Amino acid sequence: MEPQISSENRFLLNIKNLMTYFFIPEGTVKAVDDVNFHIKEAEIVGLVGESGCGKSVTALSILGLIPWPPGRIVNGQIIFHGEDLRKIGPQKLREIRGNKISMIFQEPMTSLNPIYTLGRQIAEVYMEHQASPKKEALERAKDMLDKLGIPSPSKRVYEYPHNLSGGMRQRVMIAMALACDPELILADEPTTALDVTIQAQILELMAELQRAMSTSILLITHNLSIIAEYAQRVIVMYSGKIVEEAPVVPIFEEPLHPYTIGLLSSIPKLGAKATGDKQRLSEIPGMVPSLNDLPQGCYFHPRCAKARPICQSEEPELIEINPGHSVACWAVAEGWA
Amino acid sequence: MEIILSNYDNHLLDVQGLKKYFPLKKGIFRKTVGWVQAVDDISLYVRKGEAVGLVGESGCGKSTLGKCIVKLLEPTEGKILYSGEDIGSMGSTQIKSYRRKVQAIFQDPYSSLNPRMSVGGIVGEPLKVHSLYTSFERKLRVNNLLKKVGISPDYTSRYPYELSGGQRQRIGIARALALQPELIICDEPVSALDVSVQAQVINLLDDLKDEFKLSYLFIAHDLSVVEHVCDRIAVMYIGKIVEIAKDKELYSNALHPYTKAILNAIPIPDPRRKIKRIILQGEVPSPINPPSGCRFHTRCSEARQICVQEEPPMKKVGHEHYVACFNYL
Repeated sequence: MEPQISSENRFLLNIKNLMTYFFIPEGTVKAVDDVNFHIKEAEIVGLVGESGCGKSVTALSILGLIPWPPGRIVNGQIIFHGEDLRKIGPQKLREIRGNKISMIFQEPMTSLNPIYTLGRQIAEVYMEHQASPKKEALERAKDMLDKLGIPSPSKRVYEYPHNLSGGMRQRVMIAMALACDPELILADEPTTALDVTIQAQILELMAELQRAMSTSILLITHNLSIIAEYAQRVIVMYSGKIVEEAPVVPIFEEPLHPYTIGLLSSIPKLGAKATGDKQRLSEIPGMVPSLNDLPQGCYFHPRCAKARPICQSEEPELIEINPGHSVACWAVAEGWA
Repeated sequence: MEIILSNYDNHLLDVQGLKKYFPLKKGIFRKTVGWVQAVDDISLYVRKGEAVGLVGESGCGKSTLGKCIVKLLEPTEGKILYSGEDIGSMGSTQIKSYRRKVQAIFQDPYSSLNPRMSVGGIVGEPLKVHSLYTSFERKLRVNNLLKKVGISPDYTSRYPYELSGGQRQRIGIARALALQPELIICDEPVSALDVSVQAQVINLLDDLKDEFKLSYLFIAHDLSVVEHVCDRIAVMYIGKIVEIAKDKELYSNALHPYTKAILNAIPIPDPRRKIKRIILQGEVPSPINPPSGCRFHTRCSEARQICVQEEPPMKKVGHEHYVACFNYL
């Protein structure tokens, strides 16, 4: 652990009061609603939540990729190296995107361009951001593929995405993301579409490269097990808000928010039968509320066993309970949990 | 494979040496240039009241096997016996009754429900097809079925687009239950669902199994889910079963190098656990030209000369524990 210097400029990325709303005919969808968090240098931060909780929209907001209409960042600051990415203008943002901050998307099938060769797609990153001449860029693309363990890279660069398997495509995506030695990678469900053995390959590869290059990663996933193994700090989102944030061990060993507790106990544990403690999975009753029809007060209260009248009327604030461990829950704040 | 077949009087479903090859056609005359060996010589049984899991990576043939069992595909070779009768040689009345006893639940709750039918219509359709009950009785039964899967009967006149993924999957389950089946083929029933909803559906499947004495063939890629639901688990790799064992046995005493590798590759929600990852090199080979000998030899760290040349037979290594690997011959 590094010494505790609590000055904000040690944060590589600092997000303050981020609100990203989508304006649709049915009303306003508050996909990300007043979210605050930071990422330190060389840190892997896990962002977990179920579909529609705003985790991907958070990542897209950082890079200014929210399509308008219907979506827009209505408020907040995204401070990267002391500069607010919302204020620097599209030209400078373009220089940062794919260069200092890059993104790995979930679907390796749809996020590569099917009509360009892999070499060209990777080389483009070098040509765009580092003004490399075409030939040199292609050479560097080969090196990158080699580094990622793709066999016969000098042949691969002339192939098209359809020639590759899902795992290989995801490696190409990672190659593109790593091309310019980014300081921050936003990895949005990087292994969700992959098989377990391939998932293990890709995650180990990312962890290795992260250690070697001291890159920071925002690891977005719905899979809590992946978070447990790779993240140092965890942010749990529910319906566009952060409900809990803590270092990885406390999240798994002493979770505080009823939603986090519910999520953790609803995953089947491998080997639970062998050790004799097969239990019925505990369920979180009901379902995630629709974002344009959110309940009053705490968004989780209709599904929460601990809910009291205050939860129905007032929204709990994210408060720090232990150093680095914050939670937004009345039950914890008022001490009836 | 006679060892597996011994004492099969209590076997509800018996798959014997099943093969399903798909032709690869090319050119204007659609000449067959090769075969995709999706399922290659698989033997497996399911007892009454038992849940058997089938795990494997994408493309290993697990869904093809499921489709052969529900007669959506005609097997190339081999037999499927149901209560001792070969479903391949059944007459049309027998097939109709077979189809009542064996139902399926599919992975994608978005594409497996007809968008133009109401919930009541979807759940009641199997009853209608088999002309069971009067229309009034059907309505009552549909309401009961919906209650069983945790959906309010008010939903009968709604359409699939109004429902969430979890609710749709419950509708799929209600439809499968409508004909009071004995065996349900569950093809990745929870993999499209969110974690909290996944737990609800798994618990529902568990409860229904006990209540109606159902048997499941539970096809999934997520070993933790399969282990939770099933009594016995078969691991598939490119069209073949490499290991079958009881749930606990498979976890605590996995023998096949592939089973060990997938068990090791699954992340566990415990941040303090530090394990040495066995990283399998390379990709799953294509089932079009699968490797010779043991199909896993290209990625296996323990492979020897014999693994390249000969195919390992299935061998009994313990109580209901079978493995196909030369290490255990």
